[in-house]
Amino acid sequence: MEVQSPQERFAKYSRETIGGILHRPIGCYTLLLVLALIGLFALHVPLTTLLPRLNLTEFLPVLNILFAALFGWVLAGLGVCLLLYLWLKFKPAAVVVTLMLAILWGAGLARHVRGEGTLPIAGAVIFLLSLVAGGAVFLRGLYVVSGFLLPLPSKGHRDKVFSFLRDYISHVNFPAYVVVDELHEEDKVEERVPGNPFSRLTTSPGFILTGCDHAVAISDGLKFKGAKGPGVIFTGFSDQIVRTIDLRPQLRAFHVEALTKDGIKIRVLAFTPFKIDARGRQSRLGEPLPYNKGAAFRAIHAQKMEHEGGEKKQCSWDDLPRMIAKRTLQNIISEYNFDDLYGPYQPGGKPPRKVIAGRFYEQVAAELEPLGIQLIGAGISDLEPADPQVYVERVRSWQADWARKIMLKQAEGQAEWLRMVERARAEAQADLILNLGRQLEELSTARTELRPEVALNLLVSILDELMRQQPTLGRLVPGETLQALLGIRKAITE
Amino acid sequence: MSLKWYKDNLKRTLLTLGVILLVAVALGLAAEVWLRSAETAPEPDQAGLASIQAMLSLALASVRIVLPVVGALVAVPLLASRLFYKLHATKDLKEAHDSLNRIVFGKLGFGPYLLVKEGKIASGEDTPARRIGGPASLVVYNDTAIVTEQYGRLKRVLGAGFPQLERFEKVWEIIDLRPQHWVYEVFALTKEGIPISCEADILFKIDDRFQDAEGREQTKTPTSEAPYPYTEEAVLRAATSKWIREPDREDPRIAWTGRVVIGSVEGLLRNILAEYRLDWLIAPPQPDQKHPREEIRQRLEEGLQDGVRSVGAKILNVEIGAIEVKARDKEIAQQLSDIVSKQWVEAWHADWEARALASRVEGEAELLRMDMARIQAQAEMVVTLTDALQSTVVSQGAIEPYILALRFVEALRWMSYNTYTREFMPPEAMRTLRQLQALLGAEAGTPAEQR
Repeated sequence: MEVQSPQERFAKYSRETIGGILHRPIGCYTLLLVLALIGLFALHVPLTTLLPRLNLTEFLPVLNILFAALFGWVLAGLGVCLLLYLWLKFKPAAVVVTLMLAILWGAGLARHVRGEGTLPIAGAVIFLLSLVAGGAVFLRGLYVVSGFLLPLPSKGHRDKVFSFLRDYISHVNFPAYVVVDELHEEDKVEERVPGNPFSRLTTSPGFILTGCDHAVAISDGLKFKGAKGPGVIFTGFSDQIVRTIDLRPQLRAFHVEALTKDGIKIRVLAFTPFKIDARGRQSRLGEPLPYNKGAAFRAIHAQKMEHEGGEKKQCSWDDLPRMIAKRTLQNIISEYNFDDLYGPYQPGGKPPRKVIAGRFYEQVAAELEPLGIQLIGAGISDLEPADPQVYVERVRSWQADWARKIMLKQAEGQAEWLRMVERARAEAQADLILNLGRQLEELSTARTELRPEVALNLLVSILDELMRQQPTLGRLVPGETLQALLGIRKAITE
Repeated sequence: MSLKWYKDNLKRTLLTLGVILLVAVALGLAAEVWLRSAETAPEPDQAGLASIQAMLSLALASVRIVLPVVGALVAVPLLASRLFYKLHATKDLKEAHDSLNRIVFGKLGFGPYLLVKEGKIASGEDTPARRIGGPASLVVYNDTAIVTEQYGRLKRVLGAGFPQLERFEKVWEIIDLRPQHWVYEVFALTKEGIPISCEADILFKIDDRFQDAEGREQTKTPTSEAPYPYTEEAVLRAATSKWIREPDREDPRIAWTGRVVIGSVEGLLRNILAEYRLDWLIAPPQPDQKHPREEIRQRLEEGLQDGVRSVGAKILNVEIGAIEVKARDKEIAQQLSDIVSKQWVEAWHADWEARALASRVEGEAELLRMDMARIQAQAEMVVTLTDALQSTVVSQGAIEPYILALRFVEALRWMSYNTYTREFMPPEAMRTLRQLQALLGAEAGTPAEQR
């Protein structure tokens, strides 16, 4: 609990009592009447002392009567305020004061009834007339106030409310209900004014109050009286609320488990926004949320008794879309193979999920329409395999594809290496040939005749030189080749 | 204290209750005067205190006569308040009386009032103005709009200012006019059915577009008085687009903001993502192509602009976050994450390996390998040439230098005609080879000609 400082507590008290006095009718009018009383007194005293001095004593009785009327008016007003305050805040004190005033008035009447005074009968009649006037004011007052008790746009139903008020005072009224915006159906209807719907003594209707977003279905048990409201709904003998009807769009989201054509179980979140059919009418200012009463009637009558494990309960109209949608979606999904639900190799067009969602909407809307329920737009979430391990398998398949790509990438690297080796080979050959070319050029410069022996000698010497320059080459060249080379050299020399 | 807030109540009270009481008291006084006049002679010379006493006695006597009327004036509001208290579930009888008085005669003062700002009731939630409705005052800040109901009907759309609620007029829905920013994680499946998630970052507000007299679409400009412009139609649409869900849910109501995000963004983004394969969603863009995320963002924004109009909203900006492989099931999500991360690392590694192989050719270490390759090539060459000479020596039996030289050059030519080698053979080497053949007077053509 929040701890308040003394200053805060005083400020709160002040706000709720003295500070708020001007905003509360009893406090405000009491204050005004007290001020008026003081003002009258302040005016009367100087006037009553002034008039004799001015030799105007003949005006004094008139003045007194005038002031007596004003004083009486203010005192009566104060009496109303104080008595009302006591009844509202301190009932026992109010009872005592009311009794005292009744005794006071009764004593006045009794005095005349006993024949005291010069005009006893007239006096008694005056007192009794006052009682009649009080009664008239009471009845008329209640009638007028009845027009303000309920949120009614016109005074056309004032008689009904007045008679209800009268029956309420007599405790023979029908009940009065208020539909509140609670979450659960059982909490939505509050019996604010208790009563007996089967009362034979009552002459007035009961009523139900709803906001602009709720209607109610009413039945007397023998006859369904239809969907009524929003606003103030008057009820008759044995009328009961069958159930409330929320006119706002309703959304039901639920998981559906279904088997594909190839027997794989999938799980999908389906959602069905809907409302009582309004025949396409949109919400507008000056009107309640739109709905069609015939559609509401159909929706209420479509409520089924559900049997679950030996127990039965009535499903609500707003459960119907879920029940129908579940079956419809299972039927649609059973027409597809598991792999077709995603269409990974489908070249174009709508994805299968979108197609399924479209069919789902059309079929559910068609089934709900005769039940008076308008589907605003149904849809489905992802078509997920019931066993999420399938996801892992899919990702592994994707991984395999990537492994292939990686191998290709690696092969590209290898190809590059091979190209490099071939280049080295070409360079080696080119070196040999160019070297040969250079030596031939030298022979040409020395004007030596190129005989085959010279050319052969030159070629073999180049091979020799190559072997000398690259000692590593000796390790790579097979022994037989070296032997053959030596043999050729020897043969040429010989 | 302004008198205007009291004027209506004072006037109505005086003209009804005041007049009734005055008439009753006047009649009672007349009756009392008449009764007294019959009993005693008037004393006109009474003055001062005696006069005051006489006047008070007269006044009290007249009040005593009209006590039933006074009682009626107490009983009527009391009984009516009792019913009102039960019917409207006020805090206590006094609040019921105050409320009923306000409904019948009008407000006394500015209150009760509701302070509405930042899209909610900031003050006065527990007042009768909230539970029962008007007459009451509203203080509405310029960041909020209100839709009211009265007599079971939608009444009006109220904006910034100090509007007055009429009898039984209640606040039905409150709309926050400020731009709304939502970051929402959307779970989807790729074209091949792999679960992914993507954050949608949406900025939107109540629609401020309207059609002018010529039917052209215009947008209201923000001003200092109305920094968050709106149209009444959009506010009404937003207010009436609330979705009611199952009562046991954590969020049993979805307001217009939720409908934009959950209803529109989630569905639309899921549809778009389902058209892409995982690699397309994550792969780096081609040089001439937009990044898939940017394309998805644009498609989402275009789709939303039309879609959210029905709930009275207008999209200001759409961004989407990173797309990652993710499932709702935590365990599976972890497995997927592990596989995909490993795969990305491998792909990255392979890419780098390929690049490294290429770059190593130009590196110093690779030069060594290049030398090795060259030596290898030289060795092959020596072996090939020697084999050629050796086979000639063996087949001829005697050494014919001309034949041996020719055989040598031919072998060289054959080697140079290798498809792979020829690609890298410099043109001068080929020229030299032809020259050498010419010098030896060879008649042989190219290997192809010989074939």
